Amino acid sequence: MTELVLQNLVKKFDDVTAVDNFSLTIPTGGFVALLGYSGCGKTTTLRMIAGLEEPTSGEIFIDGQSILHLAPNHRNIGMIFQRYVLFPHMNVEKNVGFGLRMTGVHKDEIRERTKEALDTVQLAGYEKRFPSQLSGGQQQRVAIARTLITKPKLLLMDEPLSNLDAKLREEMRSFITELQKSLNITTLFVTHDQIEAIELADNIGLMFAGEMVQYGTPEEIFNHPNTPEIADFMGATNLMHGEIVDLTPDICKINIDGNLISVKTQPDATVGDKITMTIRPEHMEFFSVDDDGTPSANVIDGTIAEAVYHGGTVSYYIKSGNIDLQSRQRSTVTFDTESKIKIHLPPEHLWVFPGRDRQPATI
Amino acid sequence: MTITKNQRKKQASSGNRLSPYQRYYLIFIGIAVVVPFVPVIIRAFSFSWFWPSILPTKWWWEARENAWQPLGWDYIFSGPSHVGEAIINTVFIAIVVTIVCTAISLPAARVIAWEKFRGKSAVEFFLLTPLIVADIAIGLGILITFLQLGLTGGYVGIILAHLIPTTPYMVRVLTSVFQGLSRDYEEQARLLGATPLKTLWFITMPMILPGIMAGGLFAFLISTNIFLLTFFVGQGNIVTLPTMLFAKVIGGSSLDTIGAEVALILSLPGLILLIITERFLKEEIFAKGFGG
Repeated sequence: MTELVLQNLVKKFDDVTAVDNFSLTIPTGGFVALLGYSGCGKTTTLRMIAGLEEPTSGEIFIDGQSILHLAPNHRNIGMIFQRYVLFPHMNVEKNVGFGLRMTGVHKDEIRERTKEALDTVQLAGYEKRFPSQLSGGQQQRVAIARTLITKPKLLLMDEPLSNLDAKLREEMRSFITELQKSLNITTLFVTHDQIEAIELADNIGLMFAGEMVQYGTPEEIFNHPNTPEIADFMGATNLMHGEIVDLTPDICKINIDGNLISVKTQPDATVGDKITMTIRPEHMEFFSVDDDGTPSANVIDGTIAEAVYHGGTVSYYIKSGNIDLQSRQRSTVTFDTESKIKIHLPPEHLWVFPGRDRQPATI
Repeated sequence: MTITKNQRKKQASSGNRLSPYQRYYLIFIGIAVVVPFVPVIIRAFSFSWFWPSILPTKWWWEARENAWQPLGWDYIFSGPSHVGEAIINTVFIAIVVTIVCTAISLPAARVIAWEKFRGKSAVEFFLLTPLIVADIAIGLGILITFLQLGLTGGYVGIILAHLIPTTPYMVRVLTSVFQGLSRDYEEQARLLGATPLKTLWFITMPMILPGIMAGGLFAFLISTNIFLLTFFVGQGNIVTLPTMLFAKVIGGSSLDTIGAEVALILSLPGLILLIITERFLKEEIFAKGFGG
């Protein structure tokens, strides 16, 4: 039973503020990801919790007790490093038992608990192997066993899936989530990979430049980003700029480069507002020009500038007047380069942000 | 263009093969290293050897049977020669110097390799100064200070003096070893409950062992070869192999048999140590001591 509370954490390196007024609460058993670009302060936050960096100001509480005065070896926090850092001069058994040896647990108990831990990570029989004789996934599982054997109150992970190839990722993802749920251990991990965060975490804290910009479930962050920057980071790279031209309590009409697009009215919208609109690549719907089933509203004309075939999906780069769009469609129906199409922008997938302070992302 | 199997074979093997000039150069270097030793070895086993004869006119084993006093090696291994005492002194001092040098260089190298601080490059340069400044200048400076402190004529003074030329090498070797070692290992050990001291003993030390071996070998070899500092600080009270050798050859005109024999003995500790530690050493770490 561990609740982690970070309160107004600040970390400055000389003049650079790496983490700025960062607060977060993770309830017992919570599985939270800190997501952001590299250098956004997420790893620094993790290291402050582990005791490897000292915060400039702010507090860290575990179950209501401040842990700032404790050395790393007294915090009882487990941390899995990105590169697993198995001790190369020790075999698997010695690696896994290391934490217990350091705290003076009796030999017989160490042997028993090491066996148990290796069973948990499905590596029974690997006791005498050395880290260099293990695959990446096995190394990670040894690292997990080595940490969990000490029964930490809190588990920290640094980019847990990023060093694995695609197939292993899948395997480790379900392994880690199952293990986390079965142990009900409060877990915080950092990643720069939105997919990794979405796949693993119950909640995601999005960090830009040392600050938390949005916190919520993966669905919330994915479908309701707070700002165009977050939308962009989460993969909605299509930015369209326009102006509100008509407003009813329900429907708001926006002029985007001569096209009239209808969306749900937002509370503080007024006619004449400049807005930025974005849509995820996979949420656009394509119709050929002579298709009778084309919806009547929210349709813009476009020309395919480039098509990249991925197998199950095709990426299209589309020109529509002054707008550049990027879309990903299933490959059941494909469109050739230079062909004219109609693009339906479903109102429920359009995100509208006030202002137009941001230039479209260059492709 | 297609590459035939033969061509590929040629390409693969050419990496291991030296050009004739490279081979001649290597042979030349080999000769330059080995040849100066030859006269010393011959001299050490000769009784009378005068110019212009290429080999001694009388060897030591020919002369020893009807000699009225211990000759050559017999003298070396006899009590009055004090060679045994010199060997013990030399090795004892070198061992203590190596241990103390490692102990003071480890933290220094760790900080230089891992931390950023103001004046870091100045510290790194400062560490090299004992290698730049002449022995005799350092020796005289030390002598004046040690005389005041009463440290002359004893082991403590000599060991302290020997730390001056050995520490820069040790710090250099260990710094590059620490630079190649991720801090993650120590941090991981701490997070698994190890105290700083246990982390040093169970994690850091085993991982930098090759570096400690290389640095230790440097320190040991340098210490066993120091003459000037030992001579100044020891004030003739403490005989080591180098001071004994210098006493023998101080005349400068010729190398006598005893001198050659002491010279050979002087090269032994290093040779033995090299053989013992060979399996721990990695050439690249060793080379870092020279700035490689």
